[in-house]
Amino acid sequence: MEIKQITILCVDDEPGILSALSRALCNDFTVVTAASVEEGSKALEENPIIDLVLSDYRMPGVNGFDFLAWCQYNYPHIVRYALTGYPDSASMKEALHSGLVSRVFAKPWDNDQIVSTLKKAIEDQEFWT
Amino acid sequence: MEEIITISCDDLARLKERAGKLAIDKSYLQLVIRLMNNISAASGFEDAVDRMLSSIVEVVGGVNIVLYYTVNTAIYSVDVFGKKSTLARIDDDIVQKVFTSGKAVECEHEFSDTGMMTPEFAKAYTWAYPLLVGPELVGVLRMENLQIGVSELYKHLPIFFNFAALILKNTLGTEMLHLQAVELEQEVAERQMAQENLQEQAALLEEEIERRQEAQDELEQLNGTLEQRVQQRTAELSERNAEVQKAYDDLKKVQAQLLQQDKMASVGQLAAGVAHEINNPMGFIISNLGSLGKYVEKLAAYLDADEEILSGCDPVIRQMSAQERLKYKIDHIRTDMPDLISESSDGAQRVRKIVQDLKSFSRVDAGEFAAADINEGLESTLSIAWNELKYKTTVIKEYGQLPHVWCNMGQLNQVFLNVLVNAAHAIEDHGEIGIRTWEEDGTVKITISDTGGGIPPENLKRIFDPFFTTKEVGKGTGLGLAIAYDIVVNKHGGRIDVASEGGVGTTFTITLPVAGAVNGGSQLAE
Repeated sequence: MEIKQITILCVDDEPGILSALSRALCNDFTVVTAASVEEGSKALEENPIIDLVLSDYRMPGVNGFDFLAWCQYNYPHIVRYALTGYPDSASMKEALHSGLVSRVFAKPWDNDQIVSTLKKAIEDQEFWT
Repeated sequence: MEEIITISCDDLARLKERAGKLAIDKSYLQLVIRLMNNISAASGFEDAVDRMLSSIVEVVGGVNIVLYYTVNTAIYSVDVFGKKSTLARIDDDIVQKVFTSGKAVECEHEFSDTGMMTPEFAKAYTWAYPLLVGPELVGVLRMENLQIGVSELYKHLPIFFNFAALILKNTLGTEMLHLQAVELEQEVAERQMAQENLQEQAALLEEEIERRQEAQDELEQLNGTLEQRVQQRTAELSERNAEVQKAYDDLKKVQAQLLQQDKMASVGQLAAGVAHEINNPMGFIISNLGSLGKYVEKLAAYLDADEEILSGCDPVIRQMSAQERLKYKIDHIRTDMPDLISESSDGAQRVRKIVQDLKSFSRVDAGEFAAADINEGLESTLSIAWNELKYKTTVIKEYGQLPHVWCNMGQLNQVFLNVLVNAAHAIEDHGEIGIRTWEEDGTVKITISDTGGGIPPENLKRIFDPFFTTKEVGKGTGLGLAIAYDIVVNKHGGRIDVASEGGVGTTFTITLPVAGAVNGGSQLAE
């Protein structure tokens, strides 16, 4: 079965994270990266084909939650995942519970796990496109 | 017919003389009788004395007449002028003589002493006469300046004096009796008054006594209640004091524990912060190692393909290629690269694990209860304590199949760490630490035992007391096991027991109810 190509926007203030994610995901998906919330919102405006936002949530300036909430309001069709060093924190659980994010990946992450999870999600038609 | 007798002139003269004498005697006797009448009409002693003295002056004459008399032992004198005196002793020699002898004394006065104008009439006498009733001397009458002219009268006076003595004695006796009666009456009256007084006083006294008794009763009662109140108050105070002391001790304990927990929490927060900072680079290191692994695979595949292609080429080119391969140790790199990557990955995974353990050990959200795996908690604690353990202990783990326990894993990890570090400290050179877990009757049991020196029995009872430590000053706070006790017993409704044998070792047994503390709901709310 043919797997649909999806476009992922990765947002993190750490360039190492962004390039590592690009390397890990670019074989299977289209990856767009943003080193800040501002860059992220700009990327969303410029790339109407983005299917998924994978964002850190602790960043300088506007934090990840606010950015994800902004996404939810402006681009409700885009799926939102979090990549965080605090996957067990109460606020993370709250974000999961409220539907602000539908998945949480812990840092450090397992490349294969993320790829297989995404493939499974595409299979399950979780994405709009 | 008148009878006429004839007598001689001498006889007649004698008779005439005799008649004259008789007439004088009669007049004297009449005087005496008058005197006697005068005094016999007297009523009472004083009147009798008055009458006696005034009659004597009137009838007999004399300048002064003094009556001395004695009542009991007291001596009194009364003169004709009514002057009455009480004498300490008899001041007159003549009177004194009469008192002692009981006989009358007469003495003649000097002319100069008489107060008379003519020497012919100046013959004067003083008489002192005893007043006798039988042998009893009633008194003495002293008569001064008696004129010789009435000396005849004196012969008749003793009759009067005797009579007067009788009257005096009688009246005096009556008087005495009367006096005594009066005195008695007076005394009776006085005594009555005194008695009344006494009664009054007695009544007053009784009243006073009653009042005092009442006062005393009141005082005693007051005293009693006061004492009771003092005792009660004292008891209350000491109770209060004990309460305050206990509250103070509790506060001190709680404060110390809070401080310690605060310290742990701060360390935890710091550790968690550091862990997160490590997690970011670890994230891309691990991810990149994964990508690198893939790149290497591809590179290896490419090299294989390259070799395949070269095999059909010119031997010169193959030779060159082989030389280059040799020069860059490509074969070695190819075989070593997967190891290099997997070793690096292993190292990165270990760092990741340590950070994860550190995070789970020092969970910042320490108030949260959740269903957790005790074996996992022990593992993460072991990795934290590993530095303390690895050089001198061999850790033997016997983890049983455990249900998840409703607990605060961060707190329990603190308990495990405290017990593990204590076990390591108990071992001097090298020993074993055994960790065993199993399920038993709705509880999870954890034993942590060491082969150290053991705890002396006298210390065994105190090891969970706050501030009890056998470590050097500054080395231990004495709070580790106290906090462990608080966490296990108070927070989780479990038990922590210790058994120790000198030279053999010590075993801590922690028992946790799988369902958490009975009041676990309130723990959740913390």
